[in-house]
Amino acid sequence: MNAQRLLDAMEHISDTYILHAQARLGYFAQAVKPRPRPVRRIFTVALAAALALLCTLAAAMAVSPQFREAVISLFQIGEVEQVPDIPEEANEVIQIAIGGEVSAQYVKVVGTWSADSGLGLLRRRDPADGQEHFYDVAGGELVEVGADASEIFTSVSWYGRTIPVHLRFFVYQDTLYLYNSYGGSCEEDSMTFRVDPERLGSRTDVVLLRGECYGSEADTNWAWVCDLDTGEVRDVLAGFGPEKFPYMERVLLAEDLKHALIRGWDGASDSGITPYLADLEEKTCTPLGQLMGLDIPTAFGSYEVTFYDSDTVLLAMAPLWRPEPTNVWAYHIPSGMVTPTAENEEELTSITPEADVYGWALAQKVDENGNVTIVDLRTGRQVKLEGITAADRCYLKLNSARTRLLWVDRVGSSLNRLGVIDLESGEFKAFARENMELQYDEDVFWLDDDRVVTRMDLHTGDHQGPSTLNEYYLCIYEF
Amino acid sequence: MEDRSIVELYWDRSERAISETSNKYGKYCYAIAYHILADAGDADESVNDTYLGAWNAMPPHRPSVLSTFLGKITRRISINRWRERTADKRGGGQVPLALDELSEAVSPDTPEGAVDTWELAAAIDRFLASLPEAERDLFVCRYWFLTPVAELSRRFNFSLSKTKSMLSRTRRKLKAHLEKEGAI
Repeated sequence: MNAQRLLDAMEHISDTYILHAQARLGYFAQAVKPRPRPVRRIFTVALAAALALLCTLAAAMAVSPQFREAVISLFQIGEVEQVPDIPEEANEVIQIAIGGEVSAQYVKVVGTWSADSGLGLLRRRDPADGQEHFYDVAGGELVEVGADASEIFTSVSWYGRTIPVHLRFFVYQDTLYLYNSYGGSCEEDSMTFRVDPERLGSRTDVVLLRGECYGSEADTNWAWVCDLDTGEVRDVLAGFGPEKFPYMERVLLAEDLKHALIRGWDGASDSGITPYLADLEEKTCTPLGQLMGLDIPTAFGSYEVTFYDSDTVLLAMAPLWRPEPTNVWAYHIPSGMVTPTAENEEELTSITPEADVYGWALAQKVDENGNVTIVDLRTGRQVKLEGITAADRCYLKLNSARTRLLWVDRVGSSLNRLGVIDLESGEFKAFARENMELQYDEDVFWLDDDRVVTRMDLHTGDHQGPSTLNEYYLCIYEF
Repeated sequence: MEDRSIVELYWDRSERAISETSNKYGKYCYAIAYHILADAGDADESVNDTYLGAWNAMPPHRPSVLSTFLGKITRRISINRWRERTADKRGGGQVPLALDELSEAVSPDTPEGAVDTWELAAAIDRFLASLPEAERDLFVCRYWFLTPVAELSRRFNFSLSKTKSMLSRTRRKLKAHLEKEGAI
């Protein structure tokens, strides 16, 4: 029997299980709103470099809280890129310019390559040993970097278990690359304890060690940090409250390590899982609802919290992935100020950088004609983008610095038009692509805050397996 | 509009049934189709075909739960469209990933016709009944709704590693269960 039969048979499972799962996914039938009807817009002019706007937009908004709405007008001026033919040879970088505003570097690569980290380097996984290798495109060639990576072998103690941790990392152009690192795990009595290392924002001196315990009896989470200079592991949550929680969900640490957001249950039978703000310096742990003067419901999926930055917490009820209208508040930790930044907003969805799925700092609203408004969830400021749509085959991606939006327009599986909107200056650079190989799947990511990478799978549709040859045609655009 | 009233519109052959279905369940069906197909245009077509399928099925059918009834149609149509697209060398979406994962839960040595689809579904049902709620929901979200693992991680508030690990463990348990029942 093959897996396809299993997938087909899944269709006929009990409705009860499907209903439970759809509730988990936020598909509550009563609350489901109509999806905006896609409107196919015909662009009369080929896209391209552009401009426009209220060039002092960012400054104006910064000084005037009343100026909560702005418009970026995106006038399109024709610019066309001729995509170079796919070369026979791998690793040969082809450089072209697109209208003097954008440069592009194409390269065909062989192997398992990826470019979706948003950190600036291309990655290749060696199938022989599973090791990752990192490459920069510099001086017209692919250059491997990070060969001098450091290693730390350490461990954490948790519930009487010692869990080993191995860190392998290097810093390149002020960015920490943490790879082939693993935390250990141990399984006892149907319980699993594991620790996984993660980057902590843009910090290059420490890594976050995220602990999870799960199994048949209880689930809980914890967090430590490891100093990359000394290898010392610090239990930043110990000694002021969180250890009393029988249950904790994923812990979020502020990048400056002064605060943590903890969603936990205090063990009282009549209380649910509520968010707490832990002050890691003062060693206090206070319900966020108490600090913000809000009654936060405890039901699953009724709220979501995150750090906008080290000083600001965002609270959404309902979370932006839910179909219900959303209210968002920003809580400024030093001043205690609470600011409503989205009120009963419908059709608000988060735009998260690839490197940070929890970083829902910006959101977008798309009206029935596909017109887009960007909402800054810290300030509530809204910026309407005139002249482009995010409907049908068009969508937006945010860079890690939250300063630029990539606008993508697809034809079939290929990328037909690309553009970058600078949210601070209002500049818009865009172009149409011609001479594309339309039979291949193509995806696109922010390579870093200024560069975008497209990846064309030259074996689209081939059955995948251990012996499959992987080849990609990559393009790095610098805007 | 209440589901019962929408079903009545289908039975009355009122074209308003389609617009009411679209208003209430369009987004839901689209999400299912998009996860499978990863293409907005194809997903739109699957949703439109879902309405046509519902129109053809009612009457004589009178579904007790309209959302799952529509979701099943969308899922089936979208997977079929994905298969056509794969034959056309345009894959993508969550199906190949899910198939790769589910291959751990089947035995290639079992003849294809050993059990029919309904018997297999009943065996899966019994397996799901034995699971803790969160584990069951996660499994159904992944292999019924074809929701990407990263999205599941966020919606269940689990880390990516925990999500993958739970799914892997559930697949292993499913294989043991199906072997025990003689379904694979």
